[in-house]
Amino acid sequence: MKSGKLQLMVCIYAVLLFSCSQQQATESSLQFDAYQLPEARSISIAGNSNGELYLAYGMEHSLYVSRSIDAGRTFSDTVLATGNSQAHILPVEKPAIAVDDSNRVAVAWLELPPNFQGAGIWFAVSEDSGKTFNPPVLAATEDAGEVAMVQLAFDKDGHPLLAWINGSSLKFTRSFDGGRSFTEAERVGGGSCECCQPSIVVTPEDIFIAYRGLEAGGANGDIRDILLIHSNNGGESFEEPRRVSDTNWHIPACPIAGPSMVMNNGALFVAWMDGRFEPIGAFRRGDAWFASSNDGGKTFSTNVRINHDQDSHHTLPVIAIGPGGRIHVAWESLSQNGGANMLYYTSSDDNGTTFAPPEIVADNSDPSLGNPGKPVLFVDTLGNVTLAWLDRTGARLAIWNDPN
Amino acid sequence: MIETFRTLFAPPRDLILVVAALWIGLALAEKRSERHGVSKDALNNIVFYSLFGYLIGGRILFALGHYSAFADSPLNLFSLNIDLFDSTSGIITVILVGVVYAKRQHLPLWRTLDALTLIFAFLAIGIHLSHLAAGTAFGSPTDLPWGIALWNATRHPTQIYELIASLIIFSLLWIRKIELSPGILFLNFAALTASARLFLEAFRGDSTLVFGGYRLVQVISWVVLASALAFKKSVFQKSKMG
Amino acid sequence: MHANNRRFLYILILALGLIWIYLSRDETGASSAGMSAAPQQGFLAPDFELVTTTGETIKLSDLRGQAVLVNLWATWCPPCRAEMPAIEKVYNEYKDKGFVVLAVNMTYQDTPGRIAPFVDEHGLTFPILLDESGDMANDYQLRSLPSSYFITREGIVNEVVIGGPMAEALLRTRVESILK
Repeated sequence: MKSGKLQLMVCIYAVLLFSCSQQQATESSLQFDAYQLPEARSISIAGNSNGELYLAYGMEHSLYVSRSIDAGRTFSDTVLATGNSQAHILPVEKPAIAVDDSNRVAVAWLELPPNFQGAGIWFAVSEDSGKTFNPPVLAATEDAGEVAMVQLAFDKDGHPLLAWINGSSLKFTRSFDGGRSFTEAERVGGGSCECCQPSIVVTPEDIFIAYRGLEAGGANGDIRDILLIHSNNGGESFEEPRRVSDTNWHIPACPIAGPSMVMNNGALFVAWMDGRFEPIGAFRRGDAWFASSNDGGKTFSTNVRINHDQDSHHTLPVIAIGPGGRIHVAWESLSQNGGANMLYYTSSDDNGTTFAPPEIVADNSDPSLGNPGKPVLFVDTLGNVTLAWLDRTGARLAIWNDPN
Repeated sequence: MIETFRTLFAPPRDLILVVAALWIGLALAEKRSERHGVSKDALNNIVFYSLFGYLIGGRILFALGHYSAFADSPLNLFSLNIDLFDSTSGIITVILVGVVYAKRQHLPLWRTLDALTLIFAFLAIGIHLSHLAAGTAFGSPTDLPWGIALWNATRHPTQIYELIASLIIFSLLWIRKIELSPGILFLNFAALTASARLFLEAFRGDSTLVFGGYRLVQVISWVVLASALAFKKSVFQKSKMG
Repeated sequence: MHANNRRFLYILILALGLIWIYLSRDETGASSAGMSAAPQQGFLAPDFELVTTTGETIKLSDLRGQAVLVNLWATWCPPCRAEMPAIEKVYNEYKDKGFVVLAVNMTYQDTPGRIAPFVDEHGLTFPILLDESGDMANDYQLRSLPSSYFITREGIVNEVVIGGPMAEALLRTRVESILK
């Protein structure tokens, strides 16, 4: 061989290309304003087509709601939504909130008995855009078991639907009279992960619930994949669960991370965390994943990994759709080697086939703020993106405009 | 700044630093290889074959050590997963390949080592930058104002200490323009590197300890230093007689 | 340089090297002896200091010389609750041999008012530590619950068990392993 330089350069380029193929995150170029809200243990946001954005946050034993008409730049005075109820507020649960286009905003929560077994599932609705809330209604009662992770949605007529977890059962109830009374709670779907909040999407004809399943995995431990159930008769019955994640993720523990789901023009988009690349029984880190369905949830696309680096633990992805069909995703990332913990944001303009290199929205470089986490996301019809998260001081918001 | 650097070059991107250092070191060594009686082509070839040997040897010997896993999935031999690799085996393969190639090409030992010295010296810079990026080779806890936050403590920035030492060593080797006897440049590098490691290991927080608290790497460094000095003495004596 | 001077210089360098090796030896165990602190098997267990439900302060590194099970749990986590009786039983069997259980509640993610009733209900006698800030959970890279770390007398993580409930047999074998 005359000269090894060419071959050496090819080797070096190959290594460089491989290393660089994992695109690094960039500091956020998004222009946003960050607002801080009073100390909160948990937060949720929801909005409607009228440009209204609602923030629900839990403190001590109460849920509060406040309203914004400028995408979260300013909020109305907070209103206590839970009345005299002793709401069970857990930071691992997002407050259940639903909003429609007819001035209705509702919340749901759990109240635990003194022995902490079973729970009351409560519901309260405001019909004046959150200025006042009607007296709470007991939607369902669980006499026993570990109850958690309640979720809420409105149907097209403003009737609420509720889902929650009791042990490893996914339960469901709904109202046909605006929340004054509810049907008897039923178990739906297969086994459910005990600690992962489900996600509900309602269309005029359909109800979709995405949840983390719990299936026996034999000696390798439980399989906790993301599943979807569908009802086309108003929740009277649900079809057999369909698989959203295309892997069997064995994990004999609660990963404390449910899916996030939205719908746009008939297509369902789901984001979630799983640790499919980790050795069974040695779960140390997960990735944020995405899948879509164009046939009403019957089948889902090949899963796409949203995060680019595989060094940190990426979890709790949340998803929203912009007015032009752009998919927005935010998630939290926890370092595995003493580095920085981050809050990431990305987007996709091709229905989730590919995602842009992640942008860092927040990190834990300020010890007084701690780790940013538990993101929630909403995009209104004008393209105002509102991203909220929790840190040591409470809730923070980032707001920017993206008309896509 | 260190945080930004560590984020930018978090594993596996820290490899870029090592590869870039190898490339730069080779380019610099080429400028002086003729001085040592080693052609540029020979230098390039020995580096290329050694690098190739490192990758192949490290992967194959790792696979042999985990035979059952690879027997089930033989395609993993070609996996891009860099965890499926044994660095120690890779380095042994490098040495073997280098020795075999040099023998076949009838390259003089000491002159060849001198020609390679600048590569070794610059590679050391890349490796210490890679340690800083990955958080490995970390220091012991300290209260000094220049301590860095790493692995749940404020520590001596030993990666930076070693980086400074390797930069000084490279500079000393580079600026030395006087003709030296064959082997002296390499032995100087070995002695300086061993001395630096012997001194700086005292500030490391991950030392392997032997015989009741003595740091193994310091013992090995002392042996390397003594050997280098002994060889230097021998080379000087030979050059006087020759 | 004259050969004798060179020889003297080399001997001086080597002698200084030996002195430095002696002076910088690590008798106190401040070095992690080849291991960084990380919540992984074979690594030094990250140190932490937390307050218990009885107001006592416990620091993990103060327990060197004892075998420790660090169990991360929350009241709302069913498998965490389910394995507590087995942990209590094994704790009572081995505590006189130098076995300690530190049940660290993820208080920053839990309802503090539930902890005491839960402890009473199950008759737990080992220390219940409260991670109110989440810093300990962060240091132990908590990703799922329950997570258990079996730590040797030298402070090394012998095994990490993700998930539960842990069976008594599994607990016993792991505890005997770290008591050696």
